[in-house]
Amino acid sequence: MSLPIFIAIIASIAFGTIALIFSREEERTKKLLHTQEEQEKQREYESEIISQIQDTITHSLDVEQVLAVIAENLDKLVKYSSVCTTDLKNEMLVFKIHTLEPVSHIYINQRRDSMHRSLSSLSPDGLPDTIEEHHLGVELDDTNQFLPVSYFQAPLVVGERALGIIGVSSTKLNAFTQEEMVKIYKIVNLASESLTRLETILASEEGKLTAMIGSLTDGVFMVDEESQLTIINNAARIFLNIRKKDPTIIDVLAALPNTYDFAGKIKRAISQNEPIEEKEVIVGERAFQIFITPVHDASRTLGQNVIGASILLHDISLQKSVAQMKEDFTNIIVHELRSPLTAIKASTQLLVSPKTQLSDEEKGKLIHLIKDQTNKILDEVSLILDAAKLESGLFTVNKVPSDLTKIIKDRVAVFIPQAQEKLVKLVVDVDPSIPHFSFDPNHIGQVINNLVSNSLKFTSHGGSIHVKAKEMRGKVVVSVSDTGAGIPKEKQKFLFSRFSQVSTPNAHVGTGLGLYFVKGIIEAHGGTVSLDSEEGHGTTITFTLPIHLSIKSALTPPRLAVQKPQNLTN
Amino acid sequence: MQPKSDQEYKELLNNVIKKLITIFGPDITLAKVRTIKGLTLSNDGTVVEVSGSQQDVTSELLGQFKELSESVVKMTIEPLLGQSLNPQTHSFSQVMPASPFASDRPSRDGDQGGPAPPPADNEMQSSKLEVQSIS
Repeated sequence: MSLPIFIAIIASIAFGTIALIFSREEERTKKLLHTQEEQEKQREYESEIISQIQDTITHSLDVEQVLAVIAENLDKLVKYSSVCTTDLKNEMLVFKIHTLEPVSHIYINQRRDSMHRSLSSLSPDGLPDTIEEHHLGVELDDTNQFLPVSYFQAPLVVGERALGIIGVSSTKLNAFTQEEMVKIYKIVNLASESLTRLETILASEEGKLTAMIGSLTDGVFMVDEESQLTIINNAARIFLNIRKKDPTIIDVLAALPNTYDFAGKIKRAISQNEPIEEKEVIVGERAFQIFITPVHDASRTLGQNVIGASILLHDISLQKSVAQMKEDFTNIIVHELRSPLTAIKASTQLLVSPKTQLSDEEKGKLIHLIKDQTNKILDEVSLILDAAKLESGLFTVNKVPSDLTKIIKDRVAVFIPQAQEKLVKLVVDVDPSIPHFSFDPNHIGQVINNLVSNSLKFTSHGGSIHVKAKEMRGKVVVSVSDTGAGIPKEKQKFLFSRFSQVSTPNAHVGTGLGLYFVKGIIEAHGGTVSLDSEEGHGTTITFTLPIHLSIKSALTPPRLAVQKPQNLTN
Repeated sequence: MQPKSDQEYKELLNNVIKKLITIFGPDITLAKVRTIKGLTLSNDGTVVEVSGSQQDVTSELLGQFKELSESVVKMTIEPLLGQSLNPQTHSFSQVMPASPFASDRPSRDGDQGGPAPPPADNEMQSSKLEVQSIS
């Protein structure tokens, strides 16, 4: 062989080898790049699935739903024969298995038991005995001998409670790589964290809601979809007289009147998503307006989203009493004005009638009667007007330095004839050291009038009325006590309200504005009014007036002479 | 805080591994345990030898399984290791099974593969279950 040919052969071999090496290297590089691209794609795919799962599980506290979402997406991450979930629901375990191969019942039982053992070992308080089983996917085949030889399971822990578990299995040995399994644990951990976070937020919100409901003055209780009591506030407990620590809906319904069928109404509010109102329900001595309102779960967009009902008990006892008082007041006003007007009309008719021959004395009497009745009407109308002023805040007092002792004595003196007629002892006991000070003498005079007049109305023959006044730490304390019928306890709280009436069979009732007016006048002076009364033993009404001494009145020497109580009727 | 002997520590580890297999299943548990330095396992997963510091082995074991579920480790394994590692309170009286996962490997007859150890206190007996099948 010639040298050139030899060199050519060597060169060809060398070039060929180099080309082969380069070609192989290129192929290897391409393969590597392809693998990397595939891995990258797989990673992106996994991230997308994880993100999808996370989006679904972030807003739900439903463990069953969260597990279902994860299970539905696992086939994109790992090859398996079956995926199953177990969770606690309504005092029951729910086991669901989805098979991709025709496995046997024994296979399914082994998976169920393995999942149960896992969940059980994480549940110190034990698990329910009943398990509900669901199978989805490829039909079972009991001739199939394959068993779950590869499997792993990831518990879903919320807070420190294992609420569910997801398991993946295969009929093939060593079917799963560690990387694949860890990936699924990461997804389940994400779900656990989201649920724990959501549960913490909900617990905090529930705490706020409970505190808010607890502080309401209206009675409130709530029931769930099954009409079971979930919360009841203190006001509702008081209204319904429920003393049990953990009452049930039965306790609550037992406290409400049977005639209204509240159990049926609550069910109807939930099932028909319909608010129900009862305008007046009497429970014990109180009257309530009751509202049954369906409670919605805003996160549920499909189907029934009513998750229970709230029941509000609004106490309308006071409004009802006031309404009754107003009605009585109207009747009384009509009566109070009608009587003198009737007398005036009759007197006038007698005076103007040509048929009646009246003497001058008789005419004079009739004219006096007309004058008295007109004054009575004017007094009543003035009282109503003053009450209206008090109500609207336009009532004013005209304070001038005045002598309270004189005013008390003068006003009480007016009642001496009436007291003597009723054989009621009228005693005035006024501290002589009370100085002249600024107050509205006309209105305070009306207060004394009103209190003594009331006492006379309600004190029977042989009783007594004591009017006392003394100075005490910068104020004058005046009290009017009687040995009358007293005021029933349940009426005492309404006594200073507008239209309040305390009637007795023997006593004449007025407009009921008197004590409301007394309170208004005293408070306009910066004083206070209080009541001490016991039924059958009498009543004492006490008011105070602050002493604001004017320069002139301050210079007035106190009357130091000690005076004995004056019995005005003996 | 060290166990009294290597044998006791091995028994403790086998107990822990058995518990982990019950919770997580054998595939992931054994895959994780086999990565722990200082542990030699038999083919069936039983710990046959512990070399190196017990503290390091325990720490790595906890770390591996915390990757799967920190909550589960805190709820079940840490108390077990903490209590057992305390020489003041630990008693090694419990007899360990030959293989930590012998009872969890499936068999055609059901779940009774190999000589089954007594079930853990809170483990379920399948006969107790009332199953309602809804397909």
